[in-house]
Amino acid sequence: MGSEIGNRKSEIGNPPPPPLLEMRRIHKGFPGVQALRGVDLEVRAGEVHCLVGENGAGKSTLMKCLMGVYRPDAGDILLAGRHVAIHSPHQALGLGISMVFQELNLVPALSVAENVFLGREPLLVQRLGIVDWRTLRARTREVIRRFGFPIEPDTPVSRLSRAKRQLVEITKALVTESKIVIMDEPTASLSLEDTQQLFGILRRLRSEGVAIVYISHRLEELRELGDRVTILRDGERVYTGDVAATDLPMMIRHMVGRELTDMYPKEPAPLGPERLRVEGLSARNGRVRNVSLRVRAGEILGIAGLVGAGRTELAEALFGVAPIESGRVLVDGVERRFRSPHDAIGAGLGLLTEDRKGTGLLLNLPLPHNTTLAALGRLLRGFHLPLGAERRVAQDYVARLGIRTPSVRQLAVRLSGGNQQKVVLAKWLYARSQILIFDEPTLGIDVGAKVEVYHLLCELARQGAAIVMISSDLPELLAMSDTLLAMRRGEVTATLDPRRATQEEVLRYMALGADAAPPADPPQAARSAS
Amino acid sequence: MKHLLARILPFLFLIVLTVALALTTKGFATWATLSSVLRFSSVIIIIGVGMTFVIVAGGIDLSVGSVLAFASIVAAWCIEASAPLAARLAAWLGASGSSLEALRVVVGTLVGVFIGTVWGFANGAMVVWLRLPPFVATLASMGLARGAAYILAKAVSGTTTVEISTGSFRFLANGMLFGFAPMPVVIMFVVVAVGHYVLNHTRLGRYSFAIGSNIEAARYSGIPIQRYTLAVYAIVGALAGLGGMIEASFNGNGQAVFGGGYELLVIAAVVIGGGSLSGGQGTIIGTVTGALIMGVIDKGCTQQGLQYEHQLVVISVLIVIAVGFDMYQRRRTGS
Repeated sequence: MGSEIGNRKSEIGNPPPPPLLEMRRIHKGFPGVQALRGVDLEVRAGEVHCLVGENGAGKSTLMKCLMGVYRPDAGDILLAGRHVAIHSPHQALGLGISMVFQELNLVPALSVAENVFLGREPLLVQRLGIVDWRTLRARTREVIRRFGFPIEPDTPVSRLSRAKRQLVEITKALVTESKIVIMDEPTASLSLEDTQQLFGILRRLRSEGVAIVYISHRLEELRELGDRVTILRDGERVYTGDVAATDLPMMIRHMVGRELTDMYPKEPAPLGPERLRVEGLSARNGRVRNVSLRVRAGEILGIAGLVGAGRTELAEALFGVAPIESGRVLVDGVERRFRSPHDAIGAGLGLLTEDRKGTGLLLNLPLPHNTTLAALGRLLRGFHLPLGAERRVAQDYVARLGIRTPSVRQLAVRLSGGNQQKVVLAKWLYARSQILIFDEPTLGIDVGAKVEVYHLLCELARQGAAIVMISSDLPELLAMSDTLLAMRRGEVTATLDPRRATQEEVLRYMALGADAAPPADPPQAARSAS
Repeated sequence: MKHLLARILPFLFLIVLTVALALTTKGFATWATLSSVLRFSSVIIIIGVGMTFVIVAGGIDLSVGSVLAFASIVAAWCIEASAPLAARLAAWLGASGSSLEALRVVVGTLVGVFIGTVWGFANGAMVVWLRLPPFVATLASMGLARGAAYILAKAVSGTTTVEISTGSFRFLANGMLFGFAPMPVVIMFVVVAVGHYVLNHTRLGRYSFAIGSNIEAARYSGIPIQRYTLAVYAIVGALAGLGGMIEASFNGNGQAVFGGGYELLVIAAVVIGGGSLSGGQGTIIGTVTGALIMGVIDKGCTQQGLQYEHQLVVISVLIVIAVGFDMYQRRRTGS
């Protein structure tokens, strides 16, 4: 809104140059969810502009609109004051906008130089499409030298480490001489040293007049690197300002926004015996390190952490998806070693995965198939599967969980996110899972459905289930958990009482680890010193 | 509603096609034609039932035609080679030669089916344990089985054909049950009925759908993926072996050239009948319909004086249309 007034003024007075990039009132909806509701973003040349917000706030969607991956439903994009319509990533590149993905966009079998120029190879003979390999290598080498990257143009990408692959992605952006470089969580897979090196490169780009849009969950990074920050929440822009004038609590308040009211119908359930105990568990090559936890019947154990903190990896190791490297898992006091989800389910575990479309649902099959999948044996009579009884089971859960669907014959793909989530939940309820791991149970579902999921969580706890809830939604974790763990880089950095902890405190443990403990908290300080 | 339409579309097509041919071709609308179409289609349908399981589970099996041939050679060799042994046994027991001939035929037939099962299991093992893409695994297996069929046939008889001298073996393909029902058609009906039941009303069928629809979700739901993948490949292998027995019985010999191009016909039957090569979709009734469509086209082409090459063109075009339709549906539903 402010930018609009500014523009009008500039037509009258002596005009300051228009911002390099302006996105005005961008709207974008997907079936079941309005991802962006009139978002404004203004990025100037030579600045690092941070874009922050909770998962699902719309950051990635906004950037995909800019890159031409999505077409906005409404709104304008201006580059240096000129209206543009961006239909494809190829076109965005031509306009000087490039996006550095976390690592996903490289072809491992090809060399660094080939990857850098993939899809836009310099041609020797234009018509014949003969690639000018010499130029391709030379230009790649030039960029690599200029920034002192420790990579060679001819190395196959498959032989590079994650950090170096990230550098290849950045080289891709540099070689096109992009004016706007979007970086989506670039440090998620980088070590501290690599991160510092990356920051050096970004500062240098900034000094050359390149605008950098920097998306990250690691708020401490923003303070180190950023010039200005825009905060998104629920598809709207809630704040834009100088990083220097924005402190961490303020940022978090804007990110999280809403006050904790009756949105969270928490009723503490009576706690029963310990159902799940994990001791010193490590898995996935250090992505989960020495994690210990205990969950009692009726308890909801919340796990907070940033993307890449190892929470999903922990859940998968518990569930037998990934092998455990060291440590013990005890169910009802008995040590168990799950070699597959099949084993884990047999021991009474259920995992509601973060990626419900990828690992939760049979999308092109109807509700009964999805509901009974994990416990078909309950239904079978001998080897006969009674379809009528199965349909009644599905109908029962549709009624109990309030799944909104015209009929149980509906294919799972046609349901909205919230209703899909309830179908996955129905699967674990039907399997009578008593130890339930919920990985981002409210991700990408609307507020109404969230509250219903919370009610279900409480009811399950009251019935004696032991629940582990992984979430990136801090208010939700604080309100719903009985105990709260913070994780960072594979480790548990704090065990907190959610009734006393504040969001700022949890976030510090998520972002900075045990070092974040204030001096007034001696046990934590002692732990970090050891 | 749209879903329903997509389901009955192949069936409507079959009826329209049949009526059109009946009206335009002399001598098409006869009992003889019908039974001939059924006979032609029976082996395709029998193997198609197994292929439906594989395709529903997200796989494919290109080796069915070659496995059929290999099974026919092995069975023929078994039946022939067991003659001296049976003669000695008959002399020892003092039993009649004919009862032992029946035994030889039954054992030979079971061996043929068993060979197919083992071969199918090996296909599944390549997919499950060596992690080969089903297309590659069964493409290699297709060449392997065909080569093995030729090698064994030449080793046994010096030609590509192994004759079966026992007359009673011919009953399997040429016999009439109760005097009016051709045996292959009876076998087909049994296989179709059992296949339909297993696909829709048992754990195996349900897990096949789950694995083909979303293998990760199936795994996270505790389904033993490997076991059930092995099972579906073994089933199609067994049915290819059974198909080999029917062909061998029909011709009175096992031939290394049997089943040439059957993989196309069988896969086409599943796909034309609504099975999706992306997995998670397919019905036995659809596959039967798809096979009958090709059977009717075959008969119609023959009666119109067209050759095999023309049928090949027609069937291939049908595959493109059927798969194109499936993909179009998928885009619209967004899955």
